[in-house]
Amino acid sequence: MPQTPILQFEQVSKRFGATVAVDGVSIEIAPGEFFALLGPSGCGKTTLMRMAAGFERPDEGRVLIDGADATDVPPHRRPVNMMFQSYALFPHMSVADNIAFGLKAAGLARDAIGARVAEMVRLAQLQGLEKRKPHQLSGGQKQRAALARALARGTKLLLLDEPLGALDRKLREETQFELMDIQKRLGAAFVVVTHDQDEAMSMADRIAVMRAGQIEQIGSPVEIYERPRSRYVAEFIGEINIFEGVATSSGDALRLESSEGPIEAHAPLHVANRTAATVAVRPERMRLAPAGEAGANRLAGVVHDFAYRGDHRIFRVRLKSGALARVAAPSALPAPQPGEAVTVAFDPDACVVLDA
Amino acid sequence: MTAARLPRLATLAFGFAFLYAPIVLLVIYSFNASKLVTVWAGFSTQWYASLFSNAQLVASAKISLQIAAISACIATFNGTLAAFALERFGAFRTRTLFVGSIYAPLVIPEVILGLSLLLIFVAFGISRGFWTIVAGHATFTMCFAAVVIRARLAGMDRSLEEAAMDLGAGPVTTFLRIVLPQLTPALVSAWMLAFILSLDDLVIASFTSGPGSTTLPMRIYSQVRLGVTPEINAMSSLLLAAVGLALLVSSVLSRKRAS
Repeated sequence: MPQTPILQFEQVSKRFGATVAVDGVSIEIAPGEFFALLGPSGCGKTTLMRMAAGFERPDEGRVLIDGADATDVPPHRRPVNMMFQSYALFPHMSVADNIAFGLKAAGLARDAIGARVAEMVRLAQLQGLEKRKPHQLSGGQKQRAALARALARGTKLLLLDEPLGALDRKLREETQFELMDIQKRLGAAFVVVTHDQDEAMSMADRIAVMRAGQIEQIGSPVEIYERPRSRYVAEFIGEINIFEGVATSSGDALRLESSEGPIEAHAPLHVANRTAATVAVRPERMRLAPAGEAGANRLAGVVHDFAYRGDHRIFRVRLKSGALARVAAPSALPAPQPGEAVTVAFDPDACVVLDA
Repeated sequence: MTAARLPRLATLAFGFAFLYAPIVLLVIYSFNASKLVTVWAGFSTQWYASLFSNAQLVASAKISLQIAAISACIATFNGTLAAFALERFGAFRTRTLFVGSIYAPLVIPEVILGLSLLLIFVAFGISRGFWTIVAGHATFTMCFAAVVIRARLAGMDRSLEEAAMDLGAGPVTTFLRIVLPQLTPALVSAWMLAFILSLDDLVIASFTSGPGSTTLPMRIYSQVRLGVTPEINAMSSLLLAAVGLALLVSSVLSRKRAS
């Protein structure tokens, strides 16, 4: 990375009693990047974030902020701000006082504070709510007030713990775009902790998928989705069909003898000949062909059922082995009915060979 | 349903009568014109007037109020420290012992507490009086204060403190601007409780008092032994009014905070 990373974890580990919450994690986050820590609850993503904020001290490894070792710097001396999952708005202070809190602590002059608060109120669209107490705000307003407070000090790194977790679905989507917009305008690095893959995919420049305290894969949303490295990542992000079998590779072509029939894929370099391998295919990279089409990547099956999703339908097709494959097909196409024999077809390009 | 109402109302009336009839009677007879406590002879406020000209009673009331106020302050301060140690210091080594020793005076008989205080004052040659009562009261009311404050502290959202620190406030600022404002209702309640307990105490005061430091309950008790006068009724009614008012104020305050 050419620039100094704004946030860097160096072989960081953290244990709580017998459980290892974070296990040897190294991440570098660039200035101005929108980074997501994604994983199920208990995977260590929140602990990792709390170590960046200074609320937990790593047992091993270092945390660097803007190139400086911050491992032993207490939270109130770190050039980092955090937006809490519960928002943690001070209940006895108005919205304006909440936003001004960090500025007062920094010892800013009174009119400078006033100007900055007004700016933040505009940014978070809280006009007219400055005098309200937190309990007089709606969920979305609380979320924006918490964001405004965290942004007020203008630090180059903002940590957001499940920032959209408490919002209802429609508001969540709107707020996603707002967050992205604000992040671009301010140019600060945002690190978001989330268990929601859609949220991570739509907002982040890069995603780190975590599992049991370790990083499973780091990459752009496209990489994570299109080229998942492991079965865990593939299954965590979106829907996917998994085929297992014995692989034979010749050159860059790989042929998998699966229980559904032969599957052809482009071979990555690391798969040895005649070993067990796993191939994954996204539902939207498959199509339904008339029954009887034969050949590689043509799997015979019977439509089990389908779900209408507006622009597309998700078919569940019972394959030869009895497994159900998920196939997405545009709603505009005629839909085969349950019980109808079909062929599930896909290109070698659509196949991802997984590590495990 | 209406058939079941009458027995229910009767039960309720009996319950309240059981609790409050003696007190109501006491207040009524404080306005009795007769000197005889049990014979009603018309309405009068003369006993209130004579009460305030009874120098001994007034002096004792003053002492009691002073002791209650000072010991309540000490108890609230120490109780706060104890509550913080229990809630925020994690699992330190002697925690169980500490919890036990904080809460023990809640169940130790007052007589024993009073006696042990007396023994220690005698052993160290401390002359008994105003300040020994203050010390005794602060000791046992602190436990009650600690219970009240600890409950509030346990219910407080830790992330508020973290948010304050995250926004650049040091530990002292965080305590003063975030923790203390939220703790205030509990501190007020704890202080009131300690105040009332001290005002009310006869046993521990008797053991730890010395010449010139007779508290109001001690004075009332010694006068009653010579016969109850309506003056005592009047004094008790005033005490009741004061305690009732204090309770009302604290409940209104805490309700305002909650909303």
